[in-house]
Amino acid sequence: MVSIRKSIARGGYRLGCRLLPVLPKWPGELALVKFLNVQLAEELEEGEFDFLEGRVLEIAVIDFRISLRMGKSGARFVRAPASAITDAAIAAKAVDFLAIASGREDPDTLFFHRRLSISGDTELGLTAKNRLDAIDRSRLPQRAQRWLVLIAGALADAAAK
Amino acid sequence: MQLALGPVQYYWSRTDINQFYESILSTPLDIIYLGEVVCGKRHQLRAADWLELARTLAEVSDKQIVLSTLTLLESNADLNWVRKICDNGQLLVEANDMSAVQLLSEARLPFACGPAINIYNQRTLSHLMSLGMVRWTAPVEMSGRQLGDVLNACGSKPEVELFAYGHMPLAYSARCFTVRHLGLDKDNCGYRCMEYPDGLPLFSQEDEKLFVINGIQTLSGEPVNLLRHYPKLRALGIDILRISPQWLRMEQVVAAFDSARRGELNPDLLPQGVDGYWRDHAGLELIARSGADSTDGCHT
Amino acid sequence: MELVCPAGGLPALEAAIDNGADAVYIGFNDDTNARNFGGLNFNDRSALRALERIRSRGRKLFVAINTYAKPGSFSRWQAAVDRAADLSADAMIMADIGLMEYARDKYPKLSLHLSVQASATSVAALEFYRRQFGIRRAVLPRVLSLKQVQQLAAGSRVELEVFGFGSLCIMAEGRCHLSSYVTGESPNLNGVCSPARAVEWRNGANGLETRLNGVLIDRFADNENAGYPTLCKGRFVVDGKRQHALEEPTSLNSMALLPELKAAGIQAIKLEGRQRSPAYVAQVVRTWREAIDEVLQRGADFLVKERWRGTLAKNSEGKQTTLGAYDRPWQ
Repeated sequence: MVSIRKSIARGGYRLGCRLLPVLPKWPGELALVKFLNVQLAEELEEGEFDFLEGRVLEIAVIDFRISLRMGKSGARFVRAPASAITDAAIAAKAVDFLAIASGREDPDTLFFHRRLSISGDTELGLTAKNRLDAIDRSRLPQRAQRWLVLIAGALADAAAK
Repeated sequence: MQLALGPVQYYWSRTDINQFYESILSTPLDIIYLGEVVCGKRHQLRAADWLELARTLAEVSDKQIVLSTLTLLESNADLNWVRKICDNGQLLVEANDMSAVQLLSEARLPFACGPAINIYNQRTLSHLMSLGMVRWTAPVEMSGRQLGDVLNACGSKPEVELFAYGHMPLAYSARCFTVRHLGLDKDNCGYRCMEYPDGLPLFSQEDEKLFVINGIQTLSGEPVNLLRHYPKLRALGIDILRISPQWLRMEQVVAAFDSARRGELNPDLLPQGVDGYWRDHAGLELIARSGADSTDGCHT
Repeated sequence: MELVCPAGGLPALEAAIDNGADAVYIGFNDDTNARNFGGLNFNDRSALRALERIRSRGRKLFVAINTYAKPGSFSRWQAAVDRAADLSADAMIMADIGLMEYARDKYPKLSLHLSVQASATSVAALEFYRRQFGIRRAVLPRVLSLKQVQQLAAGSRVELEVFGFGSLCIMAEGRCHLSSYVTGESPNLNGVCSPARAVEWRNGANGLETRLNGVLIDRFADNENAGYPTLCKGRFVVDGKRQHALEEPTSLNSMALLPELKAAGIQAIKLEGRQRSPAYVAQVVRTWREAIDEVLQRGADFLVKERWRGTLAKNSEGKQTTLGAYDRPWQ
C-alpha cells in the first residue's frame, strides 16, 4: 500500500514537473484564490489580510516552474493582474510548500536550511507567513486536511529517494 | 549647562589612567565620572584603586567626582565590586545596573542613573526619583522628541544629562569579542583588550564602519556628536552634556563644547559623527551638513 | 519544573497544549511585546479564545508586556496591562519599571514575572524588583553560565526561569541597541530586532545577500545554512579578517544541563519562538516535555536522547545548537 502510494506520488510528481510549466497558470491562480476566499472568509471579514490590499504576493513553486501571483481587493483574494509588479515572493519546492501547509514543517526551519527563500518586501512575506500560521487548520474540511497530510507525506517520501 | 566626562569604556593601563585624569583636571569640565563600567575582570585598577583615585581627584579639584558602577554583573565578585563602590561613604554613585540602584536606595543614598538603565518614560523616572535618583542620563537610543515627551510630562525633574559626544555603548554580552577575535578564551584572555585603547573597529563586508568592539561591549562605529544641536539641547532643559573619553583629541572635543556654552557655537570644530538617534532616525545616520534643523526630532 | 512555551497564534497555542506545555506565553499584536512582527500575536478576541482553551485544559496563560513604554504613549502600555488583567492571565511578564508600578498598584493580586528584557543578573537586582513590585518570578538572561545561575538560585528569593531552547541572544537582553543603531527601531521600544521592513534578501553574484536598512549583514554561499538577519550573527571584517565577529547563526539548547538546573532549584524552563509556526512549537514542546518528564523520573541519570537532539538541531537557526553562556568555555 505504502509503496503504491509512493510510486503514484513519484509518477505524479514527475508528470507535474513536466506538464505544469507549459500549462497556463491562470487556472491554478484562480483555484488558489477561490479556495482561499472560501476557507478564509472569516479572516477576510475581520481584516486580517488587509496588509495584502493592492499588493502582489508571488508563490513560486520552483520545481514545477510555476508562480502563482495573488493579491486582495475589497473583501476577496484576487489573481494579480499580469501588469502588476510582484511586491514579495516566496519560493520553495512543492514538497516543502506542502510540508508547511500540512503542518509538518516550520517555515523558518526550511528557511534556515535554504529550502525556502523570500525576496522583495520582506515584511509583506513575513506577515503573510504569520497570518497563514495563525489559521486554525481544524476548520479546513476533514477531507482536505487528510489529503494535505497524505500528499505532503508522500511527496516528502518521494523527495527523500 | 554643565559638561561631564563619562567613565572610560576601554581598558587603559594604570599609568595611562592616572595621566589621563591628571590632564583632565585642567579642562573646563564640571563633572567627572570614573570607575570600571565594562568588565569585572579588568584589574589594572580594582574597586579600591578607583575609590582612591576618585578621592584624590575630589581633593585636588573643584569638579564633581562621581563613581560609576559596572553595567553587566556576571558573578558575586562583580556584585561585591559594585557594593564597594556604593559603600564609598562620600561620593555620588552612578548606577549602571539595577543591582546598584537596589544597594543605593536601600542605604537611602542619592544616586545617578547611567545610560544603560532602561528609563524610557516619566512614570519610571518618578518611581526611581522616589527612591533617591537625583540625576538621569537618558538611554543613548532616545530621541530628542522622546526626551521632550518625558520632561514635559514631569512634575519634578532630576538633573538631566545627555550622552552628547563619543562612541555610544550599544550592547553588553557574556562573550568577549576581543578575545574571540584573537582566538583566545575568556578565562585566559590575557587582558588583551588593553592593546586597543580605542577598541577594535568592525566593518561590514562593504567597508562600512559599523561598530567598535571593546571586550564584552559593543560601541557605535562612529561617535555621536550633538554639538550642532546645542541651542535645542539647552532649550529642552538638559542640564548636563556627557562627553565620553577617547584616547586622542580629548581636549579638542571638550573645547568645542565649552565654546558652545560660552555662546560661540561652531559645529565645524567637530565635523564628524552621527546624530540619527537624536533626530528619531537610525542611530548611525551621519550628522547632516545642512538642513539639520528641519529634520530635528525635538519640537522646542 | 514548569515548561513555559511560546505561541504567536492560536494554532501554536493548541500545539503547545497538545504536546505538554504547563504554561503558554503570548503577547498582544502591537509594540507592547518583544515579538512585534506583522501578522503575529493576539487581539482581544483571539486572546480570549486562548484563555478558554488554556482553562479547559488546566494549563496556565502568561501575557508578555515586556517592552518599555514609550513616553508619549504610556497609556497604550497601561491598556495592555488592563487587557491582560481582564483576561485573568496567570501572570504578566514585564520589564518596564513604571509599568510594573502601575500593575502592582492597580492589580495587586496579579502575578508579575520579570521579563528577560529587564536583564536582572544579580541577587541585588532581583531583590529590587521583588521589594518594589513583589515579582514572583524572574526570567534570567542568556548571558549567565551554569555556575552563575546556580549562585543566583542559591541567593534568590523569587522563582527563577531559564531558557531551555531557541534563538540565542548573545547580548544582555534589553540592553542591546545594535538593531536600533542600524534601523532606528529598537527591541526595547518597538519590540522588534531587525524589523522586517528593513530586511532585504537578495540573490547576487556572491551568493545570498542579506541587508538591514542597506547595511550588508552577510553573504551566504549556496551550501551554507542561513540564520535570522540579526547584526549579532552577521559576518564582518575585523582587523582584515572576515568572520562571525560576534556570534554564528545558532540556537541555544540547554537540555544537557537539565539535572543541574533542577538540582539548583530552577522552577521553570522557557522555550523561545513566538515567531515560529505551530509545527516548530509541536516538535520542540513535545521533545522538552519528554526530557523534563525523564529528568523528574531519573534525576542525575538523565541522558539526552539522540532523537531529541536531532529534533532540536533540525529546528535550530543555522542548523546548530550551543550551550551558550551556560557553558563556561564558550565565554
